[in-house]
Amino acid sequence: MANKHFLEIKDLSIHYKTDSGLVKAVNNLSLNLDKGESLGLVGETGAGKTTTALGIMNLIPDPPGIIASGEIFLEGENILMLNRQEMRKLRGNKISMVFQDPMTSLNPVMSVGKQIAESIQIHEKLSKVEAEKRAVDVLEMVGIPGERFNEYPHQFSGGMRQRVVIAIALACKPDLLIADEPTTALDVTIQAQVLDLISNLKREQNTSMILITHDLGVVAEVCEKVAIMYAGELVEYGTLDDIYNHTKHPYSIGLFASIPNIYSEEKRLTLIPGLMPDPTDLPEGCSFCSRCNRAVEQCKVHNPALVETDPGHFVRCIHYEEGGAL
Amino acid sequence: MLKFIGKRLLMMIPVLLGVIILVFTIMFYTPGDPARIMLGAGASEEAVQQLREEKGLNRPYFVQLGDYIKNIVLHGDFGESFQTGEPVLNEILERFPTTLKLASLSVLVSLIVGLSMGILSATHQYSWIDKFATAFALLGVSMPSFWAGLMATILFSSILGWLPASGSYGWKYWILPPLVLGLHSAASIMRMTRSSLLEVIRQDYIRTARAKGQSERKVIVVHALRNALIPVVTVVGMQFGVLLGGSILIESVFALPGLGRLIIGAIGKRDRMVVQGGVLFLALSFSFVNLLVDILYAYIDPRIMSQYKALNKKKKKVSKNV
Ligand SMILES: Nc1ncnc2c1ncn2[C@@H]1O[C@H](COP(=O)(O)OP(=O)(O)OP(=O)(O)O)[C@@H](O)[C@H]1O
Ligand SMILES: [Mg+2]
Repeated sequence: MANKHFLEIKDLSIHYKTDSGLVKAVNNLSLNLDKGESLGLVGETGAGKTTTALGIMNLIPDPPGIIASGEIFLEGENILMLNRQEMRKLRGNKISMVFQDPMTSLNPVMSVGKQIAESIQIHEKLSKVEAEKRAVDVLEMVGIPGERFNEYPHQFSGGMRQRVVIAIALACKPDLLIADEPTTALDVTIQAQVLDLISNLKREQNTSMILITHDLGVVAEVCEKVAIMYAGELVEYGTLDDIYNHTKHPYSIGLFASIPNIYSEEKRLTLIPGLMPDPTDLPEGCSFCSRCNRAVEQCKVHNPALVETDPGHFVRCIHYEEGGAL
Repeated sequence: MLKFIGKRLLMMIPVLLGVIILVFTIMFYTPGDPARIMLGAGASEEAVQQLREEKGLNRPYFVQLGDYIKNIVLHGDFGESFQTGEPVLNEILERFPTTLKLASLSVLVSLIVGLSMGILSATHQYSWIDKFATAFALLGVSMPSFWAGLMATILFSSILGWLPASGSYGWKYWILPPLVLGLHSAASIMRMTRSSLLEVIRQDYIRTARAKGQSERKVIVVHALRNALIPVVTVVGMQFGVLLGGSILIESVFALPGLGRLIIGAIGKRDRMVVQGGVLFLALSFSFVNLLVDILYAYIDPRIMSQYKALNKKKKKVSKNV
């Protein structure tokens, strides 16, 4: 089959071998992304979002992690088959990642300017001076005065560090940007600024983006597609309209119900009861079954497949499976 | 930075004063009369008494101590050796280069071996290199350096006959002592480098560097190593002290004419002035190395540099308010 999408992930499974057992962090995850498109990857903590992102970068810490199965095609090429050097040419150049924690993601003993110039120097045949000049431009592009080129991370606030992390990711104008909760460490005003910044840059450079977050509001602002992840699996996946206006999976419905709504009469938020199952010991059937208000007996033993209910709208739930319990 | 250095230099004064008092007291109360030892068992009591009088050995403890410190501070005079009558300072300055050479060469050996083995075993964790290095480190720390020195002379001088066993008459004499002393400290440096680097490699910013597409070698050399270096520098500084101490033994084992051997000889002869001066000199060198380590910290880690600068600023603000 010809790969027609810019990014295609097929049946990706990633496991961590730990002392307490095999952590099945990502299980049979498949999704597509077109050029210039943004996908919001949503899920609660531990759902496997960061692991998925690291998988695309081929940066799963090994040991303990391994990509157990699956394929990741970028412009038709399976990047999991690339050798180390070929993969290095993609990283920071075609695919970039903004990491979750800006406080620890920067090298404390290297000036921020040099950290930005570094990725430019790796991927573009530029002299040190030219690369540093470009780095100053990138720094100003994310809203930090160029004079601060020679300063060190500890001299910056959290929000500014996050901008530096973004600057590093954008320095070589990537085709795919993976932003792992780029705003959770920031206060609300800075959050909006950073999101604006990312979406502007994205528009200007026609970059595809995977935005990882647990904030459904942020997704609605920035993304065209949404994927809801639960215990390492995609449970629902479709366009913004599909997910927000035609929500199907009980977990997604629960997620929306737990967002505070100023128009709602109800005083209390509806929370999803219970906890996500232990990833070392996933249930045989549907992993959401124990917390689901629509669970039926069969859910305990049968893990439903991801089925396309409308064109482009996928749901993993027995109630939408053909011949499923209805 | 200069201010910081100045302040640290001032702080060395009480330390050195403490060393003087401690060593002086120990030597003062060590049994054995210097005058008697100098003249030999056959000398008459009058002769011994006269010598004591002459050298001021009859005076009370505090008078002698005060005199000693006063001479050092006011005249830079460290007294004279009872044995040779030479100024102590001359004897020390004559011997010190040998000790410094031994310690420096040993540090060099331990840095080269310790750092490279530490880096290799951290980047190849659990490989045979790592296992070999760990075994080497265990051997290194558990073997006293003088014993290793003796074994090395037996092997390389007596059995194989490749290298001279003792003395200092050319470069061949300067291979075994630094190797024995250096490999001993290399073990500690290697262990610290390994654990520190392993710790750093797990950090998020190393992942950031990899995500830029940087090569693994540069990730280690450019990003990881400098961050891992702080605890290593601390250990190297401390090892320098151990080396100075160890040089006292190793100089005796290899019969090198260094400060250590001067001190050992002088202790046997109860030549107090020489012992005091020698130990003071060793303490002084160690203090300087520690200062150097603190300055190095600031150049390795910009956070420490700004701390030093902040200290100065605070001082200034306070004095303005007063
Ligand atoms: N290095 C690792 N070793 C072992 N287990 C890991 C490792 N990294 C992640 N995991 C496990 O994999 C699962 C998924 O983790 P992941 O970091 O991908 O979650 P996440 O969705 O990004 O969560 P968060 O929203 O908190 O960032 C978790 O159960 C986590 O404990
Ligand atoms: Mg995460």
